[in-house]
Amino acid sequence: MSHASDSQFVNFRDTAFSYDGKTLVFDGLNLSVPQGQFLCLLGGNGSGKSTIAKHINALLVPDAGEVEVFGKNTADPEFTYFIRSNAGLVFQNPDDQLVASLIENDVAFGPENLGIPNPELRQRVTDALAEVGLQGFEEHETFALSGGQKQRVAIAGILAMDPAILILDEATAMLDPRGRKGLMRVVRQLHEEGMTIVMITHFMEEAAQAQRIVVLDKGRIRMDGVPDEVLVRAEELQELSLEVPFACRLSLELRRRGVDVRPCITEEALKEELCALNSKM
Amino acid sequence: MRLEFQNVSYSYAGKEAERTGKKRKKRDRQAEWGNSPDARWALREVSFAVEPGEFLGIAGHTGSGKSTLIQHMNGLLHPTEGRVLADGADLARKEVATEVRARVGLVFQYPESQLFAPTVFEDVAFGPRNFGVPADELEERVRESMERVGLSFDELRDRSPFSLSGGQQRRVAFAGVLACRPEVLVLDEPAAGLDPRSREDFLAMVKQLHAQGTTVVMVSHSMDDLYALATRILVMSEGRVLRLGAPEEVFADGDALTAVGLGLPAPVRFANSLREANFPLPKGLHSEESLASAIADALEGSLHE
Repeated sequence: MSHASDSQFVNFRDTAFSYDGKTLVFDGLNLSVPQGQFLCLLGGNGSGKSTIAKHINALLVPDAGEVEVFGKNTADPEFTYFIRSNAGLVFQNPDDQLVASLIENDVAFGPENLGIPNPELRQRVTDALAEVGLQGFEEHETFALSGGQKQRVAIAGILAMDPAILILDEATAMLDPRGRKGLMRVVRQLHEEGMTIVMITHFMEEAAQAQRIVVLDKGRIRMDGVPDEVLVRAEELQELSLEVPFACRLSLELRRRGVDVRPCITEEALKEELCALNSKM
Repeated sequence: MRLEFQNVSYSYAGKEAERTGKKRKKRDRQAEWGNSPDARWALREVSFAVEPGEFLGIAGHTGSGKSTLIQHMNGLLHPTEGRVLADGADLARKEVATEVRARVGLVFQYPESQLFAPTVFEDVAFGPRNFGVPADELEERVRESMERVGLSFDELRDRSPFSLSGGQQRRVAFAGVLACRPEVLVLDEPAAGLDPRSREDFLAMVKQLHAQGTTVVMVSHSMDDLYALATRILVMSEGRVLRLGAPEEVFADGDALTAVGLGLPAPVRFANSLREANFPLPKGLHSEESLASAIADALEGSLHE
């Protein structure tokens, strides 16, 4: 795709939205996502995070204000198709998202609908499956896959459309720990290759891997910063019914006991701090 | 109620054979055992018992046989080989299974996907009504179980369950099982897919049911949850019992768990990693608080050396 000259891929400007015409999910929301960023949206139920995700690929359009994606207004029907094919959305339930019984057919569904001809279509399917670590699975049946594999097939189906933004709406919520790790590995790798990522999750160890975290509360942005700044604000996070990462909870307990450690968000960082203290003594 | 598994093996292929009416010789089944790519043994020679009043946590990787195991607990599945005894009576007997099904409540993963009735009341009342609870007692049962899961009976009884939020729907499904007043509650990943607040509420509810005398069997991927709640932990791997014991014992052997793709609870994992870095830490550090105190002491100790 030809990218807009503006380096902001996503721009919410004074956006308001309501599902029922009465209760506003958000009102006056401003949020920008630059190209290539790995953003994580956190918030309890009803905070508006999924609604934001659905605005990014024009599944929803705002009641007031505007949302621009790749510099195009999502409310303009002329751009709907363009935006949807360039901003791919992965949902929570792996069983809801696969449309075909053979993996290659499922992954080809999106690009085929975009009118991509063979042999490029076949190449895209092969590449997308390799990208998510499922090379050679073309002729396997989708029903026999694990939840984590199904989610990766769903992502491959999106990658085959060659999008510029990948949006994950609690895509790991229904996976087991191994499936979650595998999916996060794929997401990190895509980000390293330049993909813009907007991820919604309840798992703090996943949020810690993002470049930027935006914490939402009833449609308002309560915190916005790098994980190291945001995830250590334990009291505020708990107040918003969010979890505080284990390493952070432990560092705060240690500080309460007079141990001079920085609040850390990963166990590795905390261990390093403690080892440094131990060797000093 | 005591549920005893005696040398239970279960094969999905065996079940197919049963359905198609093909008789299979024992020798054929043994030939399949583990060395045939078509073998579908989900459980292999499983022996243990769910003791009355305990909170048994079941851990294991996807495909380890956990879900197959718990479906044997109220006679939904019958062993291909071996027996499951409920207070000594064989669950393979139809009349025993019928009776036990009312006393062992099974809550599947994502139970909200099984809601079906037009109103919350009808959905919750479905189980007890089928187990023969008289009509005049039914309302009391539904009210009681809805209140136990934190739903308002008066506000929600006539609502459609499908108009509720995901977390509320799960509570309705849960109330439907509680309304049968089970002695044993078997839960498959009860908190999966919930946001942190609902998760905590749900687990607190399960904890309370156990404290009030219900025997609880809970399957979970979260070692932290199992560590915090269970009195014993059963670890399944490839259809076999890999470990069974108090949480302390089971998590003492971290290598065995990591080998089958399972983690350790965060406090245990972090304490182990510090011990490797020469922190003298005692055993049995369950919580962040006890771990923090032990680390503070260890640093203090090295200061005075």
